[in-house]
Amino acid sequence: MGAVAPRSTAQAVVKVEDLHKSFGALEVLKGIDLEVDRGEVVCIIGPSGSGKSTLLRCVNLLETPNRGRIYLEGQLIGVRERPDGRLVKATEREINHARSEIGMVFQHFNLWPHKTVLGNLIEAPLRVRKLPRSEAVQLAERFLGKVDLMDKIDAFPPTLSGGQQQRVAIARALCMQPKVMLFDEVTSALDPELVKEVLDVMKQLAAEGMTMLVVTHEMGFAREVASHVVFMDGGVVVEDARPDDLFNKPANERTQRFLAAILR
Amino acid sequence: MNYTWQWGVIWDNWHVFAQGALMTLFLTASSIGIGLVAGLFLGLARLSSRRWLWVPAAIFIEIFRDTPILVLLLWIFYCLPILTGLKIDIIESAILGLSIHASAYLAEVYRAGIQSVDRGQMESARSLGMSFRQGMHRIVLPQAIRRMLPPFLNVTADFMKASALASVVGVWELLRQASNLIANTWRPLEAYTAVAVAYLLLIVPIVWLTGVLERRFARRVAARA
Repeated sequence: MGAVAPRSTAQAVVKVEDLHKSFGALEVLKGIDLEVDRGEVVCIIGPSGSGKSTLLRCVNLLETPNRGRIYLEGQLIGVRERPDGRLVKATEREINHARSEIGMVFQHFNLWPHKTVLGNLIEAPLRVRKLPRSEAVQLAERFLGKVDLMDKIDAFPPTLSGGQQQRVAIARALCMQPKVMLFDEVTSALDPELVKEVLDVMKQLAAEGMTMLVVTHEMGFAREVASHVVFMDGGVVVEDARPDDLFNKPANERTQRFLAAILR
Repeated sequence: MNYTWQWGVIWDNWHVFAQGALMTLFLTASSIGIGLVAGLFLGLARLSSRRWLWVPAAIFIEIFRDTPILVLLLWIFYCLPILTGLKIDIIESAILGLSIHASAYLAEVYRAGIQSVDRGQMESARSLGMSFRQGMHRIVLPQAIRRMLPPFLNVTADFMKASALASVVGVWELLRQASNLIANTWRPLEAYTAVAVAYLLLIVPIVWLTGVLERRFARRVAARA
């Protein structure tokens, strides 16, 4: 890793500074600042097209920002700072390593259908962490137990329900023992009756002290679990507040309109 | 029509057909074998976002997919040695021509197969820290190749037919063996009919296998839906 002196406060697991991202002429993120401290659950809400998912994908280095910095536990990731202060893209290895420390769960699960549940869980620990097989299997069993799916260890993902698949995807990310978990609208593709089992797993993770950054439309979850809630609109953070404050007395007029529209 | 068939000529010379069939199989197997490896790299290069990789790959693929194999074989046989000073024998030049064509064809099969795998598959691999190579090798290609098996076999059947063109530059494959037999025996009806049957015997199993795989794949997709 680059020899960059830690800049952010000691307990910030993720820190985003002045993040900009454009796709062609379309500026999706217009300077985002965000901090997630250890053990915090930060929920990002906002209308579609507000840049929430793009922000998450930038944090996981799946997108390359045009400007700004992302720190993971004080370490600059995705880019290196040259002595003259210019940022250059980090090497493939550094980027892969940073990603391996950041868990990500996707809206559409993205499990690998040609591998069993166990195969999905041990692949990255074996190939990226180079763990011995027995250790990888132990990890897989531990986290599969946590999402209550030990009986599906030999099943192929397409035979599972959406809720089960998403819980496997969460376990898969946990097997890398990440420093932070990113959730990208993980219940949006689920049938309504399957949403709860996934949210329950996430609540349990939060209760155990996992640091989480959650893009969600589940306002009940945000209200109950979030340490603070970030409202994004038009590529900027409009409001960042404790859930009670944000939901009950939103300061910004745009937040008020959004909440009025979805909470009815 | 009042023709007296004399199939005895064919039975007496069965080894001629066997030799020809072996050469046909050899030409097909080697050009498809080379094409499978070269086509994979060509296809990956064609999919790359790096201009210096995908532009040359795209040009190569288009040039050789759009050139008739016969023209390519003749060009390699007559022109390449003069232009480069390389000494290549007829079998080598035939395999070279067929392989180049197969690589360009199979590159497109690989490309379609890889593109048919959902982008999220690679993304989840990358998000866990796997490299592009690991994601391609462990996650994307295993899924793509299952879908590509039927088109691979189709291309194999096509190239078995196309290998008959190698007779033009003098390779002793099935068709040339038969032509030579005709020159010696003056039995073109029997010999050409026998050649047609021999090609059928070689190709029908491949076509049949393609059908089986396609049906099995369709069933698996239906079972998952």
